[in-house]
Amino acid sequence: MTDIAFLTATELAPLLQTKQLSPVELMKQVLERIEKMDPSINAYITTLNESAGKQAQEAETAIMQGEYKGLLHGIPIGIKDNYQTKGIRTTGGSKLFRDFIPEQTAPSVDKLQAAGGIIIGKLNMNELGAGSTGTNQLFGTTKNPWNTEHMPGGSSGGSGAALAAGMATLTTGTDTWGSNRIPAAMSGVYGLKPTYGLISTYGILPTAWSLDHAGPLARSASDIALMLQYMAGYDPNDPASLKAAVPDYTADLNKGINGIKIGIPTYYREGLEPEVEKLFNKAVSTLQTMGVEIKELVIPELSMSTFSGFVISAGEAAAANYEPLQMQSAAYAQDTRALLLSGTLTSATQYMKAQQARRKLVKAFQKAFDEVDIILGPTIPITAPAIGKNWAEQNLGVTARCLPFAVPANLTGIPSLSVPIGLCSNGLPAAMQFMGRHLSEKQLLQIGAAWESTKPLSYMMDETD
Amino acid sequence: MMEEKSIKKLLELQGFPVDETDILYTQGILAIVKQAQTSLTDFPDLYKEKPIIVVDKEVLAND
Repeated sequence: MTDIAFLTATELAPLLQTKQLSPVELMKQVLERIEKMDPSINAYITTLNESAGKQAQEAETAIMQGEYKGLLHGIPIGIKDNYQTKGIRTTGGSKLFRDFIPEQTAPSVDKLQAAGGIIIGKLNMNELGAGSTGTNQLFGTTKNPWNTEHMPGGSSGGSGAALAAGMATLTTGTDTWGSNRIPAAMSGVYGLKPTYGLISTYGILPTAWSLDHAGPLARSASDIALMLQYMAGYDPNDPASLKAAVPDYTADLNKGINGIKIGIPTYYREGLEPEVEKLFNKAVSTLQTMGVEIKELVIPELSMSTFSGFVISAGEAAAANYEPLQMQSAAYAQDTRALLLSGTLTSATQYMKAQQARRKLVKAFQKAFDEVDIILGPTIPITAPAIGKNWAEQNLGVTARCLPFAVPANLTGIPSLSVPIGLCSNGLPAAMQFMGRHLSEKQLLQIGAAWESTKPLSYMMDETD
Repeated sequence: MMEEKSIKKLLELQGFPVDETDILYTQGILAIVKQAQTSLTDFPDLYKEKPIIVVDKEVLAND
């Protein structure tokens, strides 16, 4: 039987609602798991055992009195440490914020709490979201639960690792050039980068404004739907927030995928590690047996993604850190500092060329979506590398390798759902991403749920400890 | 590739303290950008595109 700490929120909710499982017992199991595993994984910067235990007790009392709030009531949630949380230290993984106690909570977290979710801690991350490895010089590097000698992916490294190790039921992340999907891929969980503006980024420490997205990570597509249900919605405090209707993401998840047209750009077949390529091809064959029509696509504009992604992210991040970089340069880790400094050396013309290329890419994707419903590719071309001694060089190298696969969805603002596709012979997960039209999250989650039913990971994650 | 001396000078002009060991990494990222920029030559009509820009709602409200 699966350990309670590894059940999904969707599986736990009916047990909690019908009083077969106490929120106190669930919390106890997850906190014990953190106590046992986190000394070797280092997914958390801050744990909140006392307040989480107290809130679990309150949830139990409420449920016993017939005041069940809904599917998140009593569910343990880890929050990436760049989401501001009132009265709880929020570091962004940075020395600059090591003592920052916010006076507000990011609205997306507020909504999870209002629905009964319980914050169990703040999750480790690459400094200021500027990395793909999960390394952090101040709070220590997060390890991959599948093999602790390997990185978990980043920047939301703690978010993916906590889920893979059963140290949270749900987690939040942010994604600027893949920071939800890269750790989801490397740690064998599900991660969504939603449509730009669907989830407010107000109250979240920025990385690069025009590419930043908030989003959920979880151990199932249905749990991603559940989190999105509460995190999505208009926020007048976020200039980019969309005034779009929020559908019921949790309904009709089992609709199936028969007849859906999926396009695979040739771009996404280049530069793959052989075993990632093998698993991806196997996944495509499986999708075909499920009734999906596969079409090969050529989107030449994708070749400009690396230029646009680097120039825009480094330029905007440099602007967001310009004065602190002048006055407190030593407070930044070397990899972050190098990225920011490179941003100060790119020209305004290069930045605008990157934004022109971005327009071309948007148009190219719109054209592709006239032919297909979904665009598919590996989330990243590699499995989690072993943690290297030269962490700064490695972070820049892994970013250079993964950004071209992940950033097109950030540049175009389209939603992208990363799902596991199995384990390579090194015992590490690989993943693919489904990308859809703007605001097509419901369809992506239905596809994700159908894919999940194929049980892409062949053994339980709780065998990893 | 931008020379180390040029990088150092441009950073100092902007008031950034320069750690010599940063220069190599910064140079590496700029090399990636320069290499990636060659992809733009496949799109000679790129100059015609209106760039994606952040249009702040406060600006719109004041128009």
